[in-house]
Amino acid sequence: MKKHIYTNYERCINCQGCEVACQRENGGLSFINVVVIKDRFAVPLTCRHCDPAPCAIACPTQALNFSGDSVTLEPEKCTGCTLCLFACPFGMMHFNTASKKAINCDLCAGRQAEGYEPACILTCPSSALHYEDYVSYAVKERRRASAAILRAQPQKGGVQ
Amino acid sequence: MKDHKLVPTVCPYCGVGCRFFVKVHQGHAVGLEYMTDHPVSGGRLCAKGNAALEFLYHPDRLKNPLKKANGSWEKIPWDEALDTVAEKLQATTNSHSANSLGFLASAKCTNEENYLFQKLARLSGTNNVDHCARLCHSPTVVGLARAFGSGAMTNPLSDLALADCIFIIGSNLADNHAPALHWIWLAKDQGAKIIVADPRLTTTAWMADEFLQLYPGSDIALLNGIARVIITEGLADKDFIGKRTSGFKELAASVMEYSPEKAASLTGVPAEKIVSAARAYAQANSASFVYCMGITQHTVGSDNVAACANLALLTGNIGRRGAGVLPLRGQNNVQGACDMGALPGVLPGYQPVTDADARARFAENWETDNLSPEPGLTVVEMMKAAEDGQIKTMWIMGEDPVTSDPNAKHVHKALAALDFLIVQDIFLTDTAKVADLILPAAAWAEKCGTFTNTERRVQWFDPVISPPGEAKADLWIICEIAKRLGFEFGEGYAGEVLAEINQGVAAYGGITCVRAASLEGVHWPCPSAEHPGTPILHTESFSTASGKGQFIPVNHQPAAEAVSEDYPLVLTTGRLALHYNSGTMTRRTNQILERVPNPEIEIHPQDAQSQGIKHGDTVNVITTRGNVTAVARVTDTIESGVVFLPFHFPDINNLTIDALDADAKIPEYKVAACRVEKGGPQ
Repeated sequence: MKKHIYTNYERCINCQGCEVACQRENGGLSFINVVVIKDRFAVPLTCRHCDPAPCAIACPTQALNFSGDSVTLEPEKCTGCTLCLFACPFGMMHFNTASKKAINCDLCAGRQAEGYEPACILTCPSSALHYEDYVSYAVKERRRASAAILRAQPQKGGVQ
Repeated sequence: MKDHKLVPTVCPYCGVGCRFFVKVHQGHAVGLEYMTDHPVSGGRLCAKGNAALEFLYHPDRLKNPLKKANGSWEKIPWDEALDTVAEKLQATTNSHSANSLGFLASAKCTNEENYLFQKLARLSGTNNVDHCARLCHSPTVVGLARAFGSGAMTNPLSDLALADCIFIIGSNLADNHAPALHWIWLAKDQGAKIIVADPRLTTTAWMADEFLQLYPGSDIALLNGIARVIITEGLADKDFIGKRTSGFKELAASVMEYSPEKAASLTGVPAEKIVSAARAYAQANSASFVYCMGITQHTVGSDNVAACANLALLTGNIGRRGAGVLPLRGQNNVQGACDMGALPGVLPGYQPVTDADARARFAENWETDNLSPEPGLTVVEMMKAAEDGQIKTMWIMGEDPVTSDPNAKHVHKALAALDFLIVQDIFLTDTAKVADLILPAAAWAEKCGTFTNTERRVQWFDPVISPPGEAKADLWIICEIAKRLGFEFGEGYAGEVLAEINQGVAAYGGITCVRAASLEGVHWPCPSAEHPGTPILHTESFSTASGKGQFIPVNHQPAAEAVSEDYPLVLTTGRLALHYNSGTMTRRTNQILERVPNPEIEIHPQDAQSQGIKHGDTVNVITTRGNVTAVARVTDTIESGVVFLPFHFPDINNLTIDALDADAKIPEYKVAACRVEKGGPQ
């Protein structure tokens, strides 16, 4: 099943470890961005690798395609028109000013080929970021939520 | 295809002691990989750790010994530099006295380097050796030693996952010790209650179930108020108090005047929140108490620490898994530098210099009769002595007091007044600029040795790459200078020095290179090769003379400097997630600097409005000691009447006050009176 980057938003503390890790792995560009709202909430955003992907639909040269598990870019086809940047509902398509082409998160494909998870996932000090398929992530969240509900229940026969 | 090797190392930044791998290709550090099975961090790294390799290759790295000649720097050969240092140290001792020398050791250097550095100072006949622990956790060493007999963190960080309640005061660990957070979330998943007390709604406070926003400098009022609730509501652990503590009656009498209402009026925290925090901490099966520089950096720092320790003793929350007192240390080896005796009052292993037996033991091991029984000067005292002409020559290893010490203009003046200043560092810091001689040092990845993290975990690391130019490991530099002074320190092999530490420092007795190089490292005390190490302190008895935990009654006292008509705001200083201490390393790391290029002052919308200041405006921050320019960050996460500046930038400490805690001699970085005006540089 397709693995995704899931975020437990409650946990993100805007340390920006993920951003710096992403930059280091990607020649100075970061494909994950933490947005702070009202000085109290932090939201790390990444490419959602949508299927169908608005960026790919908007791309006039089919440089962007959903293939396998992710939206991938064929740079040689990209004309740098930036229509994909307008199309992404999360603002997570990036523009590489050096190559003058679009670029997005490739889920650390190079690292994964060597057997390592994406850098942002491994580095997250607050364990806010998770790389899983949505079923196992949802199961884990359900377990957390049900444990919290259980703690609010009265004991039954000496057991809680 | 893999064309690199992975070399394990220890992060050079904070005291958490995260390990990671450096990817090395043809002698070059080309990348970083996470050590996912590391027991402290599980591979997690903060932004600084992720960028740790960048400054190693910065063009500003010092590559040659430099001598100041006619106001400019002249490259000189190592032999000339080392001969000059030895001559100056010797000449100062001969023409004045050994106490005219001052030595600043470094929490950034290894245990082995700090051990030999203080040994060199002491063989020279002076105890004037100190380091920046004075400026962060000296009250912990004093306060916790009085209460528990040992001024160190009692439990490993992973124990936080086992706590039912975590009380965090004066620590923004989410920003400053981020990889420790993982354990707190595990506890919270199990229903643990998180209480955070801080003058600012920090990212740490984002995690809190209960947030107590107290006025800077009112910690004792809050902690005593909590102690009173615990006692009067019968929540104290009477069994523990009876068996394992002394001084309860005196403590109980001393806290009675701190009713929730009185504590509320002194702290600004609503009385009902004080009561509910007290109940949560006392009723937990296992509660952990976490504090940091918000507690220590006050003229009442030692008393603040005692007030924290009192709560742990009152509730029996010490000596068990998940129950302890955790002062978070700020530097990768600040615990180790203290353990190694880089302090003016104690020899290695916290043996007082005033103790004739301790001196005799070291005198025999070191084959000397020159050990001084007189405690030396602390960091801030050394600066005052330099200004007064009592200290003539200083050797500063890996510290930047011109940026990091309080009332910094005075520090600059004091160092300029010295006959001779030697600075050993990796960059030309503001302190190095004042020096007469600069010794270029290797950075952490370019040398080997051990660091002791905040949990007392000793971890060995090997060199990853070679130092730039002619820069040399600090250990080699110290040994070469020792040789020229007629001392036999060996050839500068860290393993040999660690073997000497095994002999001289009981707690490190069994901590060999091989054991410290293991994934887990070793927690001191570890007296012998067979001993497994001690992750949790005070399990059966305390390290005090009586074996009992000592309650210490303390009282609220106002900060040294009060606000006035001209200086109506309280300025408190602290750290940011992205920068580190004096900024020597992070301000030379593009990935960090591009995110936070300039100091920003946090100011409440009301205070900003009354001065016509808007978010993003350039402002002047003025105290009686100096002024700096900063960018206004208007936010309601700080209370009206209080402003916050990060101390990672030059001149910030021109503002802070050098009033000291009477025992620990720590300056009050956390409270100064200031005013903030719209405008830029004048």
